Formats: sequence, C-alpha cells, structure tokens
Amino acid sequence: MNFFSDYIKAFKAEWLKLRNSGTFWLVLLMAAFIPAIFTLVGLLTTESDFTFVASENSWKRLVTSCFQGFGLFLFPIFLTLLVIRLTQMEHRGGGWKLIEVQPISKPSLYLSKFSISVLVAFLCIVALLFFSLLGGTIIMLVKNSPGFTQHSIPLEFITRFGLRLLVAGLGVLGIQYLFSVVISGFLFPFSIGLVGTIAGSIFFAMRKVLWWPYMAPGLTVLNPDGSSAGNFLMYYEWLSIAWMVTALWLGYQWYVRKTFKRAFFKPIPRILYMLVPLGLFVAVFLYINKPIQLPSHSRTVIAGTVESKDKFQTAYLFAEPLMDTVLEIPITDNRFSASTEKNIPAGVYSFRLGAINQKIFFGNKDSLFLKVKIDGISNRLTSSGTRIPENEYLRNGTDNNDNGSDKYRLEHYGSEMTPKAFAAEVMRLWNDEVDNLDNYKTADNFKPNNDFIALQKKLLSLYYIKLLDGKYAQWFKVYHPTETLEFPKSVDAIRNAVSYNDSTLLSYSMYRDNIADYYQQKYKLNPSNDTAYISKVATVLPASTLRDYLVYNKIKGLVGRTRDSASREMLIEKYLPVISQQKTQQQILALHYTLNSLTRGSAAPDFTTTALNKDSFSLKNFKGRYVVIDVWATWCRTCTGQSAIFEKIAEQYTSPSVAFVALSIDDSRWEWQNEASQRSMRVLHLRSNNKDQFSRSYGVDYMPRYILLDPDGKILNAQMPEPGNPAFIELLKREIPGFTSL
Amino acid sequence: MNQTNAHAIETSELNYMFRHGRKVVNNVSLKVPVGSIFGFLGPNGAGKTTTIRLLTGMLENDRDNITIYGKSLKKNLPGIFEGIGSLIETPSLYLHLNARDNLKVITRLRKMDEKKVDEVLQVVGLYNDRKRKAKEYSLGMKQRLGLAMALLPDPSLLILDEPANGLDPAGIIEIRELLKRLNKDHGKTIFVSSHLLNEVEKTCTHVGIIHKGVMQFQGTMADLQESAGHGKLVTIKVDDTARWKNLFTEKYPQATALLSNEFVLPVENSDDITNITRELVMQGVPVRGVRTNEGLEEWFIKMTSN
Repeated sequence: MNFFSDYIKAFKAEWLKLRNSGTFWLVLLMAAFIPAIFTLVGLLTTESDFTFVASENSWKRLVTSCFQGFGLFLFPIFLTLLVIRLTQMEHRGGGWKLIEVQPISKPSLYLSKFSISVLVAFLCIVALLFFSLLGGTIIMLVKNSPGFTQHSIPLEFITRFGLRLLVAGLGVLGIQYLFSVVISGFLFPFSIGLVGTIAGSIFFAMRKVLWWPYMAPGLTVLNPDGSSAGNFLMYYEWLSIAWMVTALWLGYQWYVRKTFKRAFFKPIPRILYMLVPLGLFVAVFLYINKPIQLPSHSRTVIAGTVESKDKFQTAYLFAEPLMDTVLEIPITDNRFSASTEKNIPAGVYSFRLGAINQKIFFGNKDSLFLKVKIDGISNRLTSSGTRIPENEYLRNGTDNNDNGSDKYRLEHYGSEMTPKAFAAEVMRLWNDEVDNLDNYKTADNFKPNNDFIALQKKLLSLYYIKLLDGKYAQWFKVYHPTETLEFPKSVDAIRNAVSYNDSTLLSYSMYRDNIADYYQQKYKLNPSNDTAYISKVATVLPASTLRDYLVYNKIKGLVGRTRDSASREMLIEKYLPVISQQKTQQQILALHYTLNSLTRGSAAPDFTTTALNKDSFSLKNFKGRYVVIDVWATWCRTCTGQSAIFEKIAEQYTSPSVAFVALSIDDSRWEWQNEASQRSMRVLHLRSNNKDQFSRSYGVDYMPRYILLDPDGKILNAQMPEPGNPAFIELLKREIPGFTSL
Repeated sequence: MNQTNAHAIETSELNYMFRHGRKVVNNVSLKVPVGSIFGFLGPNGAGKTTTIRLLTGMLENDRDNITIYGKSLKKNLPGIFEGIGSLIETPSLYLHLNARDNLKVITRLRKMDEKKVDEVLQVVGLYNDRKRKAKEYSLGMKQRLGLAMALLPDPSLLILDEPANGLDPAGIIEIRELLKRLNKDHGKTIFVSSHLLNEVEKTCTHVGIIHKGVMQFQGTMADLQESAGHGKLVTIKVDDTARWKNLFTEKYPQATALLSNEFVLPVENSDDITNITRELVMQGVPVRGVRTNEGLEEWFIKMTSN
C-alpha cells in the first residue's frame, strides 16, 4: 500500500509544519470569541438569554446560540484563512519545490495537506463547543441559573451537530484548497473566499440558491436538529461532499500539471479530465438537489408515543367539518399504532388526544408517526412519516409573507382601484403564491405530494375569487350601481382552478365558508329561514357530501331546538332524506334519541365538573336541591345576554333548595376562569371536565341551553325556554314548589 | 542497483521550450559518470537551472530521455528520489520553522532517524543556530540549511544548483572541501552547476559547458585543458607596458599587452617561466608580479560570449 504509507509520512510532516505557523492561535481566536462575548453578556446582564425554559435543554440552546454567527460567516472565513496559511508556507519558502523532490507521491502530498486542514477545522469546532459549554458552566456557577443544573449536557446532540457542521464545511475547504494551491498569492484566494461567504449570506437571507457551498454551514446551524426524516446528514451536507470531491480532483490535476492549460487542454484528450468529473458532479448535484416527494407507505398507519404523567386510553382522528370519527386509536402504555383498511381520502383531519387537538394532513397509504408531549405547561406534537412537508406547510404556512401588505391593501383599499387594476394585482399575487407553493420545500428538500399541492392551489384560488367576486363586487355595486362589473379575461385562470362542487375541499373551513356564501348568493337562499333554505338546497343541488354539508347544521339545529318529540319526528321524516350519507343521518338521529331519553322523569346523566375554587362537583352534590343549569361557553356570543338575565333571576330567587348553576363547556380553563370570576356569586360556576361526554349525553347541540333537574337527580326539563322568555320563570314556578314566594 | 555501465545521470537530446519558441535547453545530452564531481558550467541564463529542474522532474518532460543510474526518471518518480538529494536555485525552506524542524520535515517524509539532523547541522556549520527560525537567517545561513537538507538523507547522488551562492570566501572554501570529501571518502556522485570557472576548476573532475541552451563541451578536466588548446599562459605585471613594448615585441613576439601593466604570453612549461623571468630581470624590467593561468578563462569567455 504505497499510497497509504506515503500518506502517513506526509501527514506527519504536515502536522510538524503547523508549529509556529499561527494556526492554533487562529483556531483559539475563532473558537473563543463568540462564547467569550456570550459569557460576558450572560454574566453582566440580569436578563439572560439562557433563562430556564422547561421544554428545551438549556445547554443545547446555549450551544446553538454560540454557533449562530459562526456558521454563516466566521466559519467559512476561518476555513479560507486556514487553507491560505497552510499553502502559503509552501508558496513562500519554496516548500512545494522541497517536497516534490522527496520520494513521496504527489497525491499523498496533496491530500495530506488537505487532511490537515480538515483536522484543524474539526479542532476549531470542538474548541468552540468546549468554550460554549465552558461559558455556560461559568454562567451557571456564578448566577445559579436553574436551567443548566436541571438539564444535562446533550452529548449525542453535540456530537451529531459538530460532525454535521464539519461535513458542511468540506465544500468550502475543497474549493478554497483548489485555489490556494494553484495560486501563489494571498489576495486572490482570500477574495474568492470572502466573496463566496458574502454571497452565501445574501442567498441565505433570501432563502434562495440553497446549493451554494459557502452557505452550507449556515444552513446546518439554522437546522440544529437535523433531518426531520432521521437521516444523519441533510441533503446540502451531502452536496458539500460532492463539491469537495470535485474541487479536490480538479485542483489536483491543475497542481500536478502546473498550468491550467497543461492540466486540461494539452494534450487535447485531457479535456476529459475536466469534463467527466464535472459531468458526474452535475449529475450528483441534480440528483441531490431535486426536491423529494415522499413515497407512500404500504399500509395506512398512524402510530406514536405519548410522553405524559397521565395515562391515556384513546386517540381520535376526526374528519371535518362534521367531526365524524375516522379512526379510533387505542393507546396502551402510552404508545399507539393503528393501521386500517378504511378508505381515507387525503385531506386535513383533526387528531385529538387529551387536550391536544391538531390538524394533520393524512390519507390512504400514509404512514404517520406522532410524538405527543403533554405536561400541563406546554403540549407539543411533532410528526414524521410520509407527509412531512405537507404538515410542515400547514403548521408554518409559507415563510413568504412579503405579500401580506399587498393583500391587506387589496382587502381594505381595493375599492379605490379600477376593475382592471384590481384584477391585475390579484393575478400578480395569485401567480406569485402559486409559484411559491410549487416551489415549497422543507429544509430537508422534501416537497409536498401533488395531491396536496393541487388542494392548496384550490384554496389559494378561492381566496382570490372571494376578493374578486365578493368584496370587490360589493364595493362596485355601491359605487357604480348601474354598471355591470367586468373583469379582464385573465382572471378566468383563477376561476378555473377551483370548483364549487369539490367535496375533497370540505375539510377546509375557508372552503366551507366560501361555498356557503357562494350558494347563498347563487340561489338567493335566506340563511335565517332554515326550512326554506333546506328545501331550496335539496332542489337545486344533487345528493352529495357537499349538499350534506350545507344542510346538516340547519337540520341538526332544527331538530335540536324542537322540544316536542313528535314534532322532531316529523322534521326528521321530512328533511333527513336530503342528507345522502348514512353516517351523517345517524348523527342527527342520535341527537333525536338523546333528546328523547331526556324526557321528564328520566334519570339525569351524571357529569363531572370543577368549580372556580377547584372543588369537584357531580350530580350527587346536588341531591336534595332543584338544579337550574345554564349551559354556556366563553366563545358563545349569543349566551351573554341570556346568561345576564339568568343571573338576575338567580339573585332574585335565592333559596337553599334551588341551585343556580352555570356549566361551561369551555376547553380553556384560563379563559373560563377569567370570565366566570367576574360574574355573580349567586350562580355556581362550574366547568365540565369532559365536555364531549356532557354535550353528547345532554344533546347539547346549540347554546345557550337551559336544563332543570329535580332533587332526586331526575330531569324535569332538558330544553327549557331561554330566561328572557317569560315561559322560563313560569316553568320554574310550576315545577319548584314555593318558588313564587321567593 | 546500478547497472554496470550506467552513468549516474544520462540525458539524451533533452529539450525544453518556454512558451514563445525559444529553446532554453537544446538537444542537451549529458553523461555524468558515477563517482565524479561534474561541474555544469555556463553563464547566467545559459539553461543550467532549467536543465537541473528537468533532471529532478520539476519541469514536465514529455519524452522519457533522462536516466538516473540507468533507470528512467520519468517512470520511477517519486521513488527514485530515495537516492537523490538536491538543492535547486534558492533553498526551499519553511521560514516559520527553525533549522532542526526544517530538517525534521524531511526525516518524516523519508522516515529517517531524527538523530541525523544534528549530525548534518554540524557538517554545514549551523549547529549553533539550529533553534532559530529560518526567516531570521542570513543568505549564507539559508544556503547552508538548503545544503543540509540535500545532504540529510545521505544520498548517493547530489544535484546542487550554485551551492556556494551567497557564501563568503571562507564559506566557499568550506563547501568546496566538503564536496570533495563527500566524493572521495563517501563515493558520492555530485552534479554541481556554477557560473564560476575558478570554482569548477578547483573542485570538479568532469565538466560540461552550456551556452544558450547548447552543450559546448563535455569531458574530464584534463580534456578541458587540452581543448583549451593554448597550453599555459603566463601573465607578467610591469610598471608600464608601453615602456617595454619594444623589448617584448623583439624577444617574445607572441606576447600581448593586456591593460597598461600586464603582458600575457604563452609558455610550454614551468621552466620557460623561470627562464623568461630571469631574462626580464636581467634586462632591467621591473617585474612586479608573475601569474600563470591555463588559458581556460579566456577560452571560456570566448566560447560563451557570442
């Protein structure tokens, strides 16, 4: 192994040459600079950047902060200077001459010097890590910050991060080595490094040209956790290796043949020495840089883990808008894995587990892995699997908020523009957003699948159609009542992108609102007349999930508000057939049966609640008293007026035998507390511990809802008239003996 | 392994051309015998350094026409350097390292015992300055260090380009003695280039003269002297040549007046010199100095001036 032994000899010689070269001082300076500043700032200021954040390891935050400016700017500059120093010692003293008359092969000489530069770069990273941790320890000891003592140093993260950063820098090293070896001056290679780094910073800010080699370390620092798909290296880190290999090869040919011409053009066939590697590089580059669309899984699976002190039994996957259960996922030992043969069309669903309610994109042959963390302070859900880019897009939207102000202008001041100008601006923004959508990719170079892109494109188009046909049309009618509005033909491109009869879009609230508006306008439906509305829709639209959606809430509302069982039956008979899906029909029937079961005299379903003072209340706490319940929630605006009247009644009719209860079905304890603590003390404010169960068992389909129970826990009236209605007091007087005299 | 009849260095019609047509090395065929001190002589710009760079593989040579101890240079790079030590143009040094470390670089590249470093530093007279950085060295010290680096691996062939460059007279003599010792006591073949005829005369066993890229002469020192043709010349220093011109023209018609106070005339042997001197003294000529030369210088200048 001649090359290997030559290489070892040359490497040892290179290591010796580092003596007195200033290299180690350079490393020390680069590595200690930022941590020193951070430590000083951390010690001298009271407000520290490293305050305790329970959910994130403080050491990790410290390390990533120290690497921020380093990755993007200092590190590439350091690598440039390092390589120049290493090659200058040969250029200046005639070192190349010396080593080239030794019995050592040229490849060994060339590569050993490069290896030294990689080694020193690695030492710099290690030193920076060391100084960061040292700084953190100093701050911890001096200021007694709880963050550092409560968390342990994440060795695995640090190792991975450091290695990734080194790999990310290999591209810069290779390119700078190429230029520094063949050019003997200092200025030219340094200028290349400087320009390359600055260009990298500019591209970084614009989030464009992500394949620029000088930018790779900056990207690594931006994504300290690495690949969301679990790969050790991210795609641009692999690209960095490709840059390095190509640059080293070209540099070696140039070095060994002394001049560029002799290296690649003299004799002519030598052009292959340049074209073939370049060709290979371009192929590798295109392959790595091409956005990846994740392939489907073999089955449809949702799996995951729950990190929490509580034990959970089931998680659910709900389909909007009607919230039917798509999947019921049993949880054992806080782990779950459910696979199904059911047909789940790709779309946005709601994943519910405990207090977590998250929208995820999911469908057939998708594999989704969820890591859920519920610790009472912050609940988090991270997902991975076949729909990584889609879910990331849903969580973050596009970074591109440049259009935000333009959109605002259109929404609020569009009336000042002519139809042509308005349409032109709409087209421009629409095209821009569609472009961004088509080009969206995650840090890992993942691109959403085409079904998602098509879906999002439709929603996008919907927004702009609403601007054109909704807002602008309204303004136009006001300012030009006699003219007809005509937009240029170009806007048809947007119109054609989405149809109003697309049931796949029903899971999106924006679409739902839009089509409701659209059909209302189109068929001149009167939203306040439920029966007319339902009938009209039944006539003009064919049976479909879309039609179901339009009428479902209306029918459910009608049924829910009807107190008389026979009348409800009539309504059901008349309108239920309008709904095509049996499952949906079942939901309305279920409501009807629940209300049936809540007839006078039947046992009241139990409930568990918590009061403002944290005491627990259930049905048994009210034994011996009449209970008047006001079912409300902070987000129910129509409840406010009635609740106020309810309070007045409670204050007026004080009695130990009657309990006036306001039972909230709020999700948020804080919001409820804020609101409830300001209300009258005469009403006992309770919040349901399991609002879904309560709503189901009491058929709470609309609010406010008023319920009357007798002292034995039996229902007297599950659908009382509202307090504003005189019938309310009449009912109380009728049912509660001695009420009149209060 | 040496092939029995191989030369230490042999080139066959070596050519080299820089970019614009002028041949810097033109059909140079060298034959450096094993065990010789071969002086490669020529004025500045004659092509010496270029030839040496070709001999050490530092310039690209498309033809395979250089052999070292009978082995093709081109085919045996870089292993062939095991037996070669060289000093080319200005010494190649690491300015930020001291003499010892500079030499240690070579010991590491050649996997040698580090003890030899101090030995060779003694030989070149740098032992006392061994811990100082090379950038602090004078020109002469740098030259010595370069020489040390060539000598360090104890090679059988030394290729030295103007090794006495920058040295003071004492240093020049030291180097001369060192080279002769290395050749006589250790059997090393030394190929040394120079533009100083005197040095070459005093040091070398063989000579090759190059001018404008073309070899003008190649052979032993004795061959050289014969080729120089004129035999011995004696230079006699007087007070004023004009005063004695007539005498010389009469008695020694072959004498030429050189400068205002010197006559040069050819002689057959040393007895001639004695006779002439006696004769002149008896004639009353104020003989201020007598100098002999081989006529080599003149012949050399003539050869290398067109």
